[in-house]
Parts: sequence; C-alpha cells; structure tokens
Amino acid sequence: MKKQAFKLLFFGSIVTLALAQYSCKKEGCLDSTANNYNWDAEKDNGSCSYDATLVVEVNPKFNGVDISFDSTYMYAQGYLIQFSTIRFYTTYAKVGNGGTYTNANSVAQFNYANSNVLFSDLVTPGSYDELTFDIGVDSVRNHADPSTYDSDHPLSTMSSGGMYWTWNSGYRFVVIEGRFDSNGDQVIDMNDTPFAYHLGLDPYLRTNTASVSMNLVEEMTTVVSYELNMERFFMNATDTLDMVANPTIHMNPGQEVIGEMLTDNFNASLVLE
Amino acid sequence: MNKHIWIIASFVFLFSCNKEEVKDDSFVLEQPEGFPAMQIPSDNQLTKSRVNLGKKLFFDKRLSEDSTVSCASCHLQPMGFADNFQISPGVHGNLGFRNTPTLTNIGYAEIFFMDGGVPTLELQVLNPIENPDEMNMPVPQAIERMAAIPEYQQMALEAYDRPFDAFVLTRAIAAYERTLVSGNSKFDQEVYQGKNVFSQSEQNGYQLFLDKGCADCHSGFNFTDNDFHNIGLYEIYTDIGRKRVTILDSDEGKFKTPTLRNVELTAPYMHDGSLASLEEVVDFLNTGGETHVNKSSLIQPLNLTVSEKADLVAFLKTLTDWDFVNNEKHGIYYTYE
Ligand code: HEC
Ligand code: HEC
Repeated sequence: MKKQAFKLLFFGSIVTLALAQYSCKKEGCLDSTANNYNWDAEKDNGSCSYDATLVVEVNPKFNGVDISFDSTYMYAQGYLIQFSTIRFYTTYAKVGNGGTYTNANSVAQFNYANSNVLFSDLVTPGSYDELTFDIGVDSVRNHADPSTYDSDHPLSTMSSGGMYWTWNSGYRFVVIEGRFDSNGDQVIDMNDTPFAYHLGLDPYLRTNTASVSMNLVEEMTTVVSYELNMERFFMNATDTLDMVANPTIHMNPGQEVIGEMLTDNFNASLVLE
Repeated sequence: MNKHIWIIASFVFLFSCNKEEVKDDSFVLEQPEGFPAMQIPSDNQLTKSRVNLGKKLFFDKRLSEDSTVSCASCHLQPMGFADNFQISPGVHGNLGFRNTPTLTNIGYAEIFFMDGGVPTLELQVLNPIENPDEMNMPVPQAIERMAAIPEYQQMALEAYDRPFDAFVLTRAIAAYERTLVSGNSKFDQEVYQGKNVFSQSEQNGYQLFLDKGCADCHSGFNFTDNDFHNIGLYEIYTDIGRKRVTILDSDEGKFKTPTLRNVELTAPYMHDGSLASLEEVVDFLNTGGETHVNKSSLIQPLNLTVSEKADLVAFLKTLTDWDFVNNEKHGIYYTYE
C-alpha cells in the first residue's frame, strides 16, 4: 500500500513540474556566446548582448622610427646603443567615461621580442574618454607565488622568466636591456658593455592615464596604439642617464634616485600615438 | 527491487577495491620534545611521495646550467646541510657573496635569506636555480629540462596529481626540506628530555648563554628570534644585509639571526664566513663589536675569562645532533615506502 502511494506522488510531481515548464515558457537570451545567456530560458526575446574587443598596441621607437633589435641608434650622449629586451607589466587596465570606470584587463606582460600587442581583451561596449593602467604589478599580486598560476598566465613562473626577482620575491615591472658602444669602434658586439635597467618594487608602481575617445561596439575590435618613446625613457627635462657610469640599475640601495627617475621617465615615455 | 540490490552491491565492490589499491602515502613528521608543531601550507601537506620527489630534486645536478651543481653541493648533510667554504662555488666555480647557512630545522623558519627577501620556503627554491653564482639556470628552462625526464613526470603525477611544473618543483623541494628536523642533540637530551648529560663546563656555558644575552636573539627551541640584527661585525658593511630589501638606512648591517643548532659543523661563521671558528666568534662577541649606529644594544663587552669562553664554546657544541647528520632517511639512497 505504502509503495503505491509513494509511486503516485512521485509521478504526480514529475507531471506537474513538466506542465509548469510548458505553461510559462521563460524568455531570455538563447545564444551561449552572449554575455547574458540565460540557460533556463526557452524563448529568445532578442535581448542578447555582446562584449567589444579592445586591443592595445605599444610601438617602441627611437628618433621616431620603430625599434628593431638588429639596428643601432645614436644615444643622446653621442655613442651607439642597441636594444635586446623591452618588457613590462601593466595591471588593472580600465576604460573611463567621465570618471566612471569599466575593467578592461587585469594583468598583461608586454614583450617586444614576441609582439607589439600589450593585451587584447573583452570590454563592455560604450563610449569612453580615457584609458588607464598601472605600470607594474600591484602589491598583492607582486608578492603572490608565481608557481601557482597556469603556465600561460603573464605572472606564472614560465611566462615571467627574466621578470622575477628571486632574492626579493616580486616582479620586475620594467626590463630594458641591450649594449652600448663602450669601446667606441662604431659597432656593437660582445666586446661592448651590456646595459640592464630593471625597475620594480612596490613604491614604484605608476599609473598611466591617457585621454582617448573610443566608441567600443558589440562584437567589434578597436585598436588603440601607444608609442614607447625610448629617448624619453633615458632623459627628463634636466637629466640624461649616463650609461657609462650606470650601465645597470637593479633598484639596489644607492640606486633609488636613478631608479625613480627611470620609473617616472618610462611612464612619461608611454603616450598615445 | 532487484535493481536496487545490484546498485548497492556494486558500490560495496567499488569501495572494497579502492581500499586494497591505495597505499598509505601519509608522512608523519617527527616532533621532538620541546618543539611546537610545524606550520605547513595547506597546498603542500607532507606525503611520502612528495618528500621522495623533493629529495631526488635536491640531489639532482641537472637543475644547474651545466649539470655540475645540485642543492646538496652546498648544503651537505655531514655539515648540518651547510658546507665549510667561506663562499661556496657554484657553476664554473662562480662565487656569490654569502656563506652557506644550515638547513637544520629550516621548516620552522619564518622568513628566508639573511636579508629576508623571500617569504616562503617554496619561493626560496627559485633563487639558487636562477642565481648566476649558484646554478645559473633560468627557472622556465630548468622546468622544461626536468619535465622531459619520464621518471619526474610520473613522480609529479603521483605526488601532486599534475604534470611536472613550477608548482611541483617548488612544492616538492620545500616538502623534503621540512623533514630536516633536528631535535636530539645533547642540549635536547639535557633540557627537553630530562637526562643528565651536561658536563660541568657545558652547564656553565649554558648559564652564560642565558646570562650574557645570547638567548635574547638566539631564543626558543630553535635558537633564533626570526628577526634581523646588526651585531657590530663591521664599522662599514660592504654587504648591507636587510637594507638590500627594505632600502632603509636603519636596516643597514642587519642579518637574520641564524639558528645555532649544529653550529659546530658549519664553520666558517657569519654572513660572509669571516670568522673561522667558534672560538673566534666568542672572542669577537666578547669585545662587544665595532661601533655602528644600528648595532643592537644587546651586544656589549662581556668580560669573559678564558675558562668562561671555553665553557660557552663547549655549550655551543652540545647543539650538535649526530642522529640528524647520520640519519640515512635524509640521504638520496633512502626512499620512504
Ligand atoms: C652555490 C652554493 C649553493 C647552492 C647550489 C644552493 N644554495 Fe642554498 N644557500 C646558499 C647560500 C650562500 C645561501 C644564503 C643566501 C642569502 O641568505 O642571501 C643559501 C640559502 C638557502 C636557504 C635559506 C636559508 C635561510 O635560513 O634563510 C635555503 C632554504 C636554501 N639555500 C636551499 C637551497 C636549495 C633548495 C637549493 C637547490 C635548489 C640550494 N639552496 C642551492 C648556497 C647555495
Ligand atoms: C642582537 C642579537 C644577538 C645577540 C645578543 C647574539 N647574537 Fe649571535 N648572531 C646574531 C646575528 C644577527 C648573527 C648573524 C650575523 C651575521 O651573519 O653577520 C649571529 C651569529 C652568531 C654565530 C654564527 C652563526 C653562523 O652560523 O654563522 C654564533 C656562533 C653566535 N651568533 C653566537 C652567539 C653567542 C654565543 C652570543 C652571546 C654571547 C650571541 N650570539 C649573541 C644575533 C645575536
């Protein structure tokens, strides 16, 4: 007897549930690639919305021409230089509209050896008048464990190779390396002195802000291009870095003044094209 | 009805099968008398397979550029997991600028390196591999090299349920290092195990160690306060110590208080290996050190007599744990089953 009653109740509820589903067909977006895909909707009501794609490019330049790692450039102090590495991190990129911000990218690593794209990310469509990001890694993620990220994450041990300080756990925010013609023979080869500018440490996180009017449209890609003016990186209104005297800066004690100057210079050298 | 019985039956079957196949991988860390429980990160609890993997890596020279140097090249068990060089040579005989410290009870340390730039034992692993004066291998390259060795792939899957990567490398070596627990020295037997083993001279030395302020910095069961001090070794420090990390002038010449366990085996002494013997260390401390604005007020002239100095050295030697340095389990030929 009891078993019969239970069965009745069970089938009864299934029928009721099914009926309920049919009687009030839920409406919503039925495209699973959309932002607002509604998994329990059954009828598309044309409400699907999609993100826009924002691509940010950076073009390192010297004397107005794109830098090539094969070419040499005349430095402000009258000797040739050649670049071999141009890398940096940006975090918390946002697009703004009248002071209201929308996230654009969490963390990106620029590595000129691989590409001139800083990031390509999905952003909520709209009109914006500002693009901003921090140059470097915020203090929380700066001291997190790089081995816990997937290997393709920009902060992972694998992707951050050469960008991680292992004696003082944290990332190099900016790495600029190359050689300068230290023996004055007008060619740059292994006999010349390498230069290495490794900038970082929490107090040296800088925010870069650019005014740019962008209309980001659903399912469309917008490209924003920056110039990285490497002449500006080495000099400000009053000082030019003397590579001969300071071929390497690792933010060691005693290097605060130059480290800070280069950090601020780097931020100032990254401007919209 | 029959169906139900079948389902239950197969569940029972599944469980009984599992029970037979899973071998016991749990690792029981010894906790000597007088020691607190070690704090171990939740993502790296000890298991036998993790410790075995970490030990294998610790002794593997392939982690260095030219496969000539392993962690164990500088951290040798007979010397309390330190060595007897003033500055230990790395690949190509390259020399760094600091003396190799002991790894005795390193699982209890709260911050790593003499200047304290590294917050966890896991992260510490990345440094010697990449350091040009030690193993000189970019870590991504080291991982690619080790991941290509089938045995390591298999051990990684067993230990961490994932392919060999940076997570496995750092976790496994740290797991092995945490097993390097030393707590059966003559000091432990006397003070923590209640046996009467100290000679009169050792007993006097222990009293001096407490009375002369040594135990204010070399404090607790592991003889360290995990803090940084300037002990007036120099008037002008070429190695600026903690200031390298904090950039604060007030940290110049400060170094992490080293544990004194197994100190007899780890000569020479100090961050730069500049003092050759324990007698020289005690002679130095007896003077009260050089003048330095950051020198700790605890470092003062001690006015020790010749026999008191000998007593202090005798006491420091009671911190040697022969069971630890001879424990075959810490060596490469032992596998936890
Ligand atoms: C060339 C010699 C050398 C090699 C090889 C080497 N070390 Fe060290 N180790 C040192 C020196 C020197 C220090 C002290 C560095 C400092 O404090 O700045 C050190 C410090 C440490 C510390 C920190 C100790 C403390 O009290 O803070 C740990 C842990 C450690 N090493 C583990 C390892 C591991 C693991 C490896 C292999 C991946 C390794 N070492 C390889 C020489 C070496
Ligand atoms: C102010 C804190 C402080 C006091 C007090 C102190 N020490 Fe130390 N001790 C240190 C620090 C810090 C170092 C490491 C200094 C360096 O490497 O330059 C050290 C190093 C040592 C070393 C060398 C260890 C090694 O592995 O290189 C010995 C031995 C030692 N102390 C014994 C003593 C004795 C004995 C006393 C008492 C007479 C004493 N210390 C008092 C902080 C202290």
